[in-house]
Amino acid sequence: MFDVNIATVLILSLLVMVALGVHIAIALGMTSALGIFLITGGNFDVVIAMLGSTAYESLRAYEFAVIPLFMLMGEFIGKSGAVTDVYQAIHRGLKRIPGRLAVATLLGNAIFSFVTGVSIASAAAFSRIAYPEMKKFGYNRGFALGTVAGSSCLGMLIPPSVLMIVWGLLTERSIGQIFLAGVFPGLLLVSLFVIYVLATAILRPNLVGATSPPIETKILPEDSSPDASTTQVWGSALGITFVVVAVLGGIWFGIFTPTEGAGAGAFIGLVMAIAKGMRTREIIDAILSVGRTSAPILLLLVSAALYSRTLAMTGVSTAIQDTFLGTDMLPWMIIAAMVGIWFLLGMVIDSISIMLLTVTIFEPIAVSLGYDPIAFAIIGILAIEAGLLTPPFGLLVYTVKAAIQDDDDSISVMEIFRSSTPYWIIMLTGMIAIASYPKIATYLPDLIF
Amino acid sequence: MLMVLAAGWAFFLTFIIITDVIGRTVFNTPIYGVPEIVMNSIVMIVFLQAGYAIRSGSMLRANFLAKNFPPSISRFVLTLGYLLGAIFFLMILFGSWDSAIHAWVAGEYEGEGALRVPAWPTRFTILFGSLIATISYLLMAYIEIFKPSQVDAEAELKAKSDNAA
Amino acid sequence: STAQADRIMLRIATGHPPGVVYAGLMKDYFQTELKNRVESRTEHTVNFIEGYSGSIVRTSETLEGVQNGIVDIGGFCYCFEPSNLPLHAFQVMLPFGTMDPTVSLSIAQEVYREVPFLTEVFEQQFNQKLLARIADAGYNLVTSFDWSTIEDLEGVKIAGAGLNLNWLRYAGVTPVQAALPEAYTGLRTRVYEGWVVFPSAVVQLKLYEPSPYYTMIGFGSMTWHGLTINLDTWNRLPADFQEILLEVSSDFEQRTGSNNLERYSNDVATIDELITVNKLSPEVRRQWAESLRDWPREMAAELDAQGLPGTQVLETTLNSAEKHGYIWPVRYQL
Ligand code: NA
Ligand code: NA
Repeated sequence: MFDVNIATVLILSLLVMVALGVHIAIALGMTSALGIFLITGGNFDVVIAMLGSTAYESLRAYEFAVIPLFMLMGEFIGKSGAVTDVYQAIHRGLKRIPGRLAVATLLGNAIFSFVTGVSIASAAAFSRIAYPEMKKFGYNRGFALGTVAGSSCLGMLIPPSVLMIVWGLLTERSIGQIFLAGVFPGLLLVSLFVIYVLATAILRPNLVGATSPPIETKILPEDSSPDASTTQVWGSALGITFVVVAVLGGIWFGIFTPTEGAGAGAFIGLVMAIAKGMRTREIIDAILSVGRTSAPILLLLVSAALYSRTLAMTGVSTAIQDTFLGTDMLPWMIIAAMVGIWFLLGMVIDSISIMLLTVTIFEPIAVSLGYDPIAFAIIGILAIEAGLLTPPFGLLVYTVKAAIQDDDDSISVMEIFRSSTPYWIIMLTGMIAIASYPKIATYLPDLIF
Repeated sequence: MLMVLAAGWAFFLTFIIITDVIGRTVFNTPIYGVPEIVMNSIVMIVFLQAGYAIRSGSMLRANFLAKNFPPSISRFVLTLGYLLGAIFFLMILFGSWDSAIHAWVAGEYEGEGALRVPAWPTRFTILFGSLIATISYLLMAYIEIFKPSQVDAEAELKAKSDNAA
Repeated sequence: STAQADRIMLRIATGHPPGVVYAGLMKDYFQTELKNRVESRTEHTVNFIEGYSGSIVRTSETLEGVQNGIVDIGGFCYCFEPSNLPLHAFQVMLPFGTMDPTVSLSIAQEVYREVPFLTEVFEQQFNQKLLARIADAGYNLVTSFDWSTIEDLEGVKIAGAGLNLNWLRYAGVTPVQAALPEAYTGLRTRVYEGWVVFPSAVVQLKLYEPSPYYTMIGFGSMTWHGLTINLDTWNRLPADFQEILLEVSSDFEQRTGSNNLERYSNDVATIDELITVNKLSPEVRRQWAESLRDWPREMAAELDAQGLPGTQVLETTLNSAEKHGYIWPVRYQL
């Protein structure tokens, strides 16, 4: 039904452009243009008509507003200082726990993950908040930064998350359901991360600074930040709790759709930011910064829509699916192959680009193999997110490295990669757990929807 | 400037949506046409931000291979990529032209039954945004070819930080 | 290519999934019949690239997609073309018409015969040829609560899509603009408490779970979808192929009526086993129609003002329905 030569040309040209470092949105868009040109027998009018129509139609859905609005919420709350407060509150609460700074980092990041949908935001914030503290108490620097990088993955794995939103938009599945499906797997990962840190603290106490005394012994961490009063800390903790309850609860109980939840979240975030004394200038900066990060993602979505339409127009997507399904491979082997491809891509390109390149092809295959589409969304997001910790491109590791660059540039990226490996393995374990027991993901959404 | 306008607009959507939610849940009176306004706004915001996203280097790309190229090849490949970008947005511009004119002449609108949102502002914003994006890519290509000193300085800076890593 | 044996490839698309009756008929009837008849009666072969569920064009861009040649053949609802094809929704402007899709289709066929503009506009303005009109099953109301009089619905939020929101507004209902794919969640979460839908959607989207009351209100069956082919594609096709294409299209058109009629009673029976199905008293239906008495005239005047034969089309529809033996609950005056 389709021309093998066209399919080959399309896949090759896309790979070559991506590899040469052409902007992914452009690589997708130009490949699509080429594909339409070839399939229509060289009709350039149809090519530009398709481009124009897709530019107008592909983002014209209420759900796309979710992306900038949730990012706005995360930005407001992140910049308001509320996160630092909560980190310190947890830190104070865990007096006798071994490796408590690392545990506080994990838990703080987990809570922060409920309000931010972008892992990089978590990584940047916690590199500055948690790393100096851990360094002060003689933690192994690699271990400390690995913990920051690893726990920052939670930003995408605990709802709301840009990856979940994009997945929902690409597959036309309910974003609300995917959010709810992410709750238990997220908590599972947090628990496994904490167990890992506690085990490390007990088995290898030198990594958490137990053998060497704190460098500044006189200053206890409680006193190290005189600017955060108990009231402030409680205020921040309550504020973040309120956002989580209002947004997720609102979506859960059907008071609003994900788009409205995101709008409400951004609004509450703004109120919190003002309450925490954020100035007009800082608020404007936050809004601009969201513009800078959300526009490229939305443009990528335009190209992705174009690309998936081209695949449909050329019949390539059906052909790839038939090939996958026509082999003698067992269902789990096909899923393993997909995960393998995601890992490989995760080494070289970012999570959202990976989704745009693969999800519209992979998801129908998984569904026709009998996998639950919502559980598969979580499996996919875990696999793709794990790529953020794998060398050589692992974005989170570079973010962490960049965030501490000014204070401490003696630590190598490879060292951070090495210390992130346990977190990466835990995520893989979580993924296998969900593949074996999809109920972990689907229990909550099934309860509601 | 466009960036500021677009980002502020995105921020403003928050309030429209909140008003609608409150109107619907508290006063039982949804505001007509909020979904229509929001979805057209998103398209306009994105196309207004495209030029800035391109010039500020925020567009996502893979540099695992390109960063190991010798400078001259690297510059050639980058320029090629920017030119492809310019062509892409130019094609969107041409492809949107007829529809934009039609939307204006025929008074095309979306959202029957609720609020009738005219289509021409969105369609013209796509035209305008694509034009800015095309120019931005051409500008990037120009800088890459004719202002190598600037690029080299940046590359040197980056190489330094990579070495440190 | 020789005129004797062409290998024809057609891109056929719609924004709806094959689960929707007409889209299913496009895939399972139109495509199959066309292929069988062409390949048994001519030397040509025909193959399709399918774009269902909006995988190539969305519901709101199918007209434009066919116009531009992105797809060759497209099926779409005129509800998504309020500014390009406002007149083609004429049956919606006359609510409480016949609930029989075959009758709705005959009425539409007669109106199209009387008013050639309805057919010609596709070729003159949108570079495509109308192959078939498509009838839909009759609309009723699914709600989350039981009701029996219009007063029960006063101020209640009920969802609909497009022009038929006006059926609600005039009766004092609070209309909510929504899309069918989100109906289940919307009803479940009480964003609205009812939907104006035909029975197949209630069954397919499981709307009976959140909303266990289906009221046979009888808003009417609408023939307001179309199947069109890009004019350049059409002109390129061999004459013998064109002939068969028209023949299959005509059979497909009749099928949309008969198939929807059959599906309607089956779906209502299915719903009846699952939830409460209420038959609204003719008096309440008359009252509701009464509340809408002025609307058709307003719509006709608006269309006339745009230079379209609005009054003529609505008047022909009213008369044609009566010729088919249909008695309007309220005879709208234009
Ligand atoms: Na999150
Ligand atoms: Na969706």
